[in-house]
Amino acid sequence: MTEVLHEGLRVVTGLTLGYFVVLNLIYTGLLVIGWRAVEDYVRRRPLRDYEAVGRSPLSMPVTILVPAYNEGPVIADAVRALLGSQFLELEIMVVNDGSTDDTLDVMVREFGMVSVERVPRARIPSAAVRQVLVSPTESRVVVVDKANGGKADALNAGLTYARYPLVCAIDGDTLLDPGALARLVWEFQSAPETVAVGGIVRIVNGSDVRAGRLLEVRTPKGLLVNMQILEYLRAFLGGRIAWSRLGMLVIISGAFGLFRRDALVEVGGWDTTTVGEDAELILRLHRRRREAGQPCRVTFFPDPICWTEAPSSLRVLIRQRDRWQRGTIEMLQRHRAMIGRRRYGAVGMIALPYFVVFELFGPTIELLGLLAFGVALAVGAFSPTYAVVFMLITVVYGLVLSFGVLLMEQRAFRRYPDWRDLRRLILVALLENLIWRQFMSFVRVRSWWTLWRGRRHGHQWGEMTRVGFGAPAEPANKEAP
Amino acid sequence: MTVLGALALLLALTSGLLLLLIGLVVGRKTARDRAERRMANRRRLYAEAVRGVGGPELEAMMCKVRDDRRAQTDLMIELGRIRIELDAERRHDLASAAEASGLAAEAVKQIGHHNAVVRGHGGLLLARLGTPAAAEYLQILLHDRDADVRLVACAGLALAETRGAARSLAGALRDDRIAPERIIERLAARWALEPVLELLADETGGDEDSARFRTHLARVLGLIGDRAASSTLVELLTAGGQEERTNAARSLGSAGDETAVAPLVAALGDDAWTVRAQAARALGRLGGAGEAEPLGALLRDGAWWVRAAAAAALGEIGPAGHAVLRSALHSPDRFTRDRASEQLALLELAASNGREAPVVA
Repeated sequence: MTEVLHEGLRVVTGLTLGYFVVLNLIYTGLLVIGWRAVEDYVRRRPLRDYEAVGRSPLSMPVTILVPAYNEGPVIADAVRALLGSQFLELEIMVVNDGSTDDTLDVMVREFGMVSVERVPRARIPSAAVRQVLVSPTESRVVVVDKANGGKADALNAGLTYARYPLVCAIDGDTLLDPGALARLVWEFQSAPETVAVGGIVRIVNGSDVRAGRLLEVRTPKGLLVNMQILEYLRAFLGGRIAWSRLGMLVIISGAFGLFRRDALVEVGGWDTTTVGEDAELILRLHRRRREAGQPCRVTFFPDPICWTEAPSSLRVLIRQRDRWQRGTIEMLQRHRAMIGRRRYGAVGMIALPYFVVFELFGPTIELLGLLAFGVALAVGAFSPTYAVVFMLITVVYGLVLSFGVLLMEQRAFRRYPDWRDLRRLILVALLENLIWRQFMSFVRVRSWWTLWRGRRHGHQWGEMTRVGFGAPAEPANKEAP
Repeated sequence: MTVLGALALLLALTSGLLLLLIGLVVGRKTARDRAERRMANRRRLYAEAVRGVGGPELEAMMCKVRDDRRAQTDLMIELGRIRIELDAERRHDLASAAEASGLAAEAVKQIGHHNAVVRGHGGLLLARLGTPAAAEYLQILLHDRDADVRLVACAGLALAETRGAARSLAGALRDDRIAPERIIERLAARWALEPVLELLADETGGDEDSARFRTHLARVLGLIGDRAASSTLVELLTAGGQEERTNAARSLGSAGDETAVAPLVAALGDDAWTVRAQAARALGRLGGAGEAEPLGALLRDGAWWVRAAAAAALGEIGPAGHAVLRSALHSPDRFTRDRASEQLALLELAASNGREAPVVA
């Protein structure tokens, strides 16, 4: 019996080690490809006249959709910040998703919004639209006031009334660099087969922001947000850039993405029945367009041009990550027919199998592996020396990847120019590989359970306490009624 | 070697790699801090030399820049920022110094490089230095195999502001390798007006390519917005194909010539709804009380876009148009009623704010 147990534990630990080896090889490959993509971008950057795209009356105009649920404390500053964009041909459409606070009143008070009859430009189902308001003083600002239906539903209502051929979906607390839109529009103009472009999302906590303008990028003092800063760096610089380069990008963050409006309308807009509507949409775009034999370029812009507030409390962070993982599970479950199918190209043959193994089941494999290691050590099935060396290799290699990303950030972007910030990120990198990842794996495994519960209880807006851009504001509870 | 030994070696190698990366991160940061300080200093000196008086200092500076690619990039960026401030004499000094120092020759050498980034760099540098031969080399880059380099050539030719540059840019409109919008936006400046009018006068072909070429040039004239283009645009409005007529109508609105009102009113009866809509929009900018009636008639147009454009135009032309909008509140067509009520609401609000009403169409 003991022999069988020992053998079983050896097999499980062996498989886990194999999993880690393959995962780290993939991460290394992605880092190398991402590095080359960033190098290419940095060398070409001085040649590209992004400012001309922003000024040109012939640039593809953009409707920015700002879904807002109880965003009263920040909405006016957010809209003013968007109006400060260097991109001129734009419309800012705030979709008030049945807020229970003064979001609509703030918009009426600050921009003098007045109700008008506006022609819907598409037929995308959404909760009832009560009124459309325009501003007599700022013709670029529009409010769609509707019954509560969730973020995806609000985006769909906005898409119905959007005027322009490009639609930008952002969160209410997203802060865009003034040149952000011009850079993303460049991607559409340089490759007409582009249907969606994402941008690097960076964390704004700790930075100097005044009246919706980012003045100086800094890292905050707390460990929790710094962990997320490093995590975002790894995810975007060490992952998505490479997936984009390989033509296999399947995720564009809900915080900032630019889409071709007609492509969105063709696939019916955002899915209101999943918590991961952003990722699901990209996969649906890939699927429908490939099935229809249409080109589908989904790409990623490497310069950090979009900033968002990260959860600063563990409770909110856990809820956020739980929502993300549930979104991944739902997305892969809905589009399982694409997995391993040649018809869907590299997305079906490589990207989705990767997601299934390393994103869907990865956390479970990691936790089971750790557990098996523990048991194997306890019952003497595994040499403690071997275990220590394996653990050290895993941790040190994780650090190698983190430092590779930090080097890339220093080489190409230097958004954290102060030594203090770099020191903080180096320290965080050391801690991240020891505790953080294991904890996050636990949170992601737990999502299977919350998904089952969520199916019974329905979908909600994510909870997030808004601090406001640059000025302390009344906290707003974003839980839907 | 035992398994444990191999693992220990792997650990040692990984740790070494980690130490190397930590060193690189810290070293990179130190080097970049220093490089940025140097760069800021260099750019300040370049700006002073370019803005300053006399050619010898400029030439001496360019001699130093000639053999250093980073310095060239800094000068190129700085020139992009301040070139607009320079008068014709100083631009001439700049070009002469670039030639005398050999910097222009270095940029020309880069244009022939196999690497696209170097070619683009050379093209942009040459364009910003503004040497007389720049347009000739940039013209070659318009047909480059790299998209970024072609766009650099577009931007560079626009900086040259010469008849030849305008003709080269317009010539690229016949080539599908650059999106027409990117060329049109570069040509949309007063310096290109005459060559564009000449090209339109010369382009008399009846084939599809000629029609498309004329359409693009009509768009250029609209963006330039000069009365001198009015008669050419009116000709296109009355004799061109649908795309030409549509663009001519749109462009007449921004040309600002009231003599175009009569042909625009006639275009309200065009068979193509795109022409009717653009003519209505143009009349919103140029028309007055006399155009209230024909625009009011357009509120019954079969195309909803035309009805929306007519309502917006009626809102713009003053009290006579507003009266027509008020009577349209009783229109049997809901869309027309909505458009009329929208325009009136905006006008009322604008009046209460003491501002001009925004155009919503």
